[in-house]
Amino acid sequence: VKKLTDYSSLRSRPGYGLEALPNAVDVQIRDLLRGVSNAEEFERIAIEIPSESWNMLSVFAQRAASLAVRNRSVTDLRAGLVAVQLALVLTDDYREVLPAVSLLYRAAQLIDVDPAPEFHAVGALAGNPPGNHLTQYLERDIEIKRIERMGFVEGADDSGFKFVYTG
Amino acid sequence: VARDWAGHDVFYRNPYDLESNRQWVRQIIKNRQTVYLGSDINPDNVYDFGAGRQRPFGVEVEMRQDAGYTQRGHYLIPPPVTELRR
Repeated sequence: VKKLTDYSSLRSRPGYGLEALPNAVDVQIRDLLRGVSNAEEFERIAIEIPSESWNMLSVFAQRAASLAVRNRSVTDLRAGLVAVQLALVLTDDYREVLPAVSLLYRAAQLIDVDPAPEFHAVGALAGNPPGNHLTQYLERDIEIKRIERMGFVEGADDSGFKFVYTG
Repeated sequence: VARDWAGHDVFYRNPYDLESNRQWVRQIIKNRQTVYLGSDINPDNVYDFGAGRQRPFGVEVEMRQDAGYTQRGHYLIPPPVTELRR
């Protein structure tokens, strides 16, 4: 009998985005997404998780962007990219997810990773759907890619680097 | 919703970004345009409880309310010229 995957970490959690980095939920979601290494796995999880999970995935992706910079971690960056791609597949308003895409792009730059191959690799996991807002983001002008256009700045909290929302 | 309605401006910038959205709302306020609400003004639509911040729709609503707009059904109505706040 195939073991059922535990998706409880994706349940709505008010204030998750404001909690200290990292926390137990970050670790649970990262571990959940670590198994998404091919298109079949991506499709399975996209079907199995409730569509409203897009919000937790989007917030996780924003947190993962900060953690990627803080830890200079490609693993965190990739977990964030998988999360944001899933969120884009599940949401009915892609604009809500774009801030996370913006932060992940900037995070890749800050840790000296070329964003394009990373974004394309995760887009491929989702089957490169037409009009994919993850890979389309790469085509933006530099000015429109600035995280400030999405209301964020590069900052820090008591434990290290953090993308901070300023509105 | 109103994208194909005659005489309506709809913010549909591609690529989208929050700052451009705000600039568009400022222009709508400056022009004293009436606004059709494509979504209900309720807590889930205006606030992202997971992220702990306003949604873009919430930002738009707040900007218009700060400028003196009032809700009438599915519309936000600009204030009389003498009451328009900058």
